[in-house]
Amino acid sequence: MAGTSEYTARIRVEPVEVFNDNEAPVGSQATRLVANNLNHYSDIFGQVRMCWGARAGAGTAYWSTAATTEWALLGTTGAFPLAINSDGSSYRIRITLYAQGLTGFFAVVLAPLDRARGTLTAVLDAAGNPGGLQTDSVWITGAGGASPALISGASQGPEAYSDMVGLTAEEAGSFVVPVAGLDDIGGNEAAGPQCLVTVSVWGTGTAAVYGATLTEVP
Amino acid sequence: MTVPMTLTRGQVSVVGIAPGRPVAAGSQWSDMAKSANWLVGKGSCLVPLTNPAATVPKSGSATFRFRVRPRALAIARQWSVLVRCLDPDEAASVTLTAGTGSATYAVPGIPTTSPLPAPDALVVVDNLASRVSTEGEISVTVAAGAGGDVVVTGIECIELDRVVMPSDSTSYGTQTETIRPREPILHLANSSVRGVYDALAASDARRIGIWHLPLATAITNNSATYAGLTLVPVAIQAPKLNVGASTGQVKWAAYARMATSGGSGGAVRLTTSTSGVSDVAPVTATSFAWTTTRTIAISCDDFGVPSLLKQDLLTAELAGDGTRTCEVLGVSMWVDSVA
Repeated sequence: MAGTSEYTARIRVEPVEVFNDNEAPVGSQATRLVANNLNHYSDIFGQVRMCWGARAGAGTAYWSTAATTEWALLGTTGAFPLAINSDGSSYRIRITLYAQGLTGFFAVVLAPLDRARGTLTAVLDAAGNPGGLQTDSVWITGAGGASPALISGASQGPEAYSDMVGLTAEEAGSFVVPVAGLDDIGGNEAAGPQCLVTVSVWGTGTAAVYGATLTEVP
Repeated sequence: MTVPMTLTRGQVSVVGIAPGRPVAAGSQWSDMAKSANWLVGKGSCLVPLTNPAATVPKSGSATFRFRVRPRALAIARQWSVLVRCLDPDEAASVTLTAGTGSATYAVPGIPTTSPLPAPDALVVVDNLASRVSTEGEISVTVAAGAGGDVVVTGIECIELDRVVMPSDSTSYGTQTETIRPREPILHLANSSVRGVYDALAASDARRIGIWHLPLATAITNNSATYAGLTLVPVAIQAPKLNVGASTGQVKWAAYARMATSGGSGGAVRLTTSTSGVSDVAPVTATSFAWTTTRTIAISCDDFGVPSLLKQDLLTAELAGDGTRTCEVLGVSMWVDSVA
């Protein structure tokens, strides 16, 4: 989705520039600015969900698996309420992955964690090579290299994103659950619907992840 | 009165807002009210999942520190911590403590042979005692019981989305039934057109957490030659604010000290690829403390690209003064303002 503001930016104005007289009605210019700013702030409100590079210092600092023909969970966010567009589809998750592994493949999955493994299970052949899926909620790479490097991949559905995963309206709707919370500081319990998901990173073969940046975008 | 949090963001069609035409209550104003409620109710991610790769010894603990400026609209935070217990024979009792929240889990022991099974994702919720909108430190402590050493491979902190927002001067829930067709335009707080303006003015649509490096064991360097704090560069990006902008401002600080006093002190340096940042935070204190917060401009969203990608690769480094050792336990980068 491209920016939904006409300016793809937030517009700052002094009140006197658009509200020029106490007795004059509020014009279309002021209202259009408010609408555009609401749109742009919604566009940029996608959050960074994962951002790290393996630390220096002693000890193993990367996520790894070794010599497996199954998908192994390397790391995952906690469950979070995914931002949903006005058409019901989800914000996408943009992916940057530093990885290593000559016989390793990697996957990033946008789904509740208990659904992620089931979704991935169907995409390995007997030799442990990724096969095909029909959802853009899963992004799969080719084999890594001998040293940590940025690795490319593609989402597995019709969008075939080169660097994103996302949910259709139907997929996002299937992940909506009631969530409890307080109505205010020290307040009473209340509940409301949220699309709760995780973003999880998986590896198969001999694979190591040295860093990842995953960001919500509209 | 409370307003339920909207599941979807709003998207206002501005094409019909033009001179000589009324602003439609049933679509444009209603969509603006929906957008305003979404912006005040949605939570930010204070600490994107980061990997400290830290061992907490049995019967020991480690505190991981982060520096951010939270949103005043948030009332609760959720910390998620990925752990493994390395003892093959016993489960480790792991306690997470953050703010008002504390939770204890039994993490089963695993053999240290490969492949490693999945890490356990532990959660603790911190229901805030008061709203916080000033820059400062947030932290989580991971304590391991006597059962076994624990390895922490992930830490994350999010502000929980509001499930409802009171219509008041701290939560700014706009009553959408007051903005329907044939309803009068009211000059009442949190109602009608005024409610939309109040909520927009109070909203804080920041993509707060950009990057954090928390450590349980300090990374040290006594050489005056910089050495990397990470093994690979880190991809970072700021939100776009201004028309035509290619960069956006973020703030950063390091939790560091000099091991001994005297000399010229050490430094933490950040450099970036695309935005060409080279910024240095001097370290002179001999007790661990946050360095003076610094402001830099890194690459921001490119709305000409479907994924908005305009990636900067960050290199973080540490230097001593050639004799004395500089020690780092954390570095944090965050968005401070989108005003």
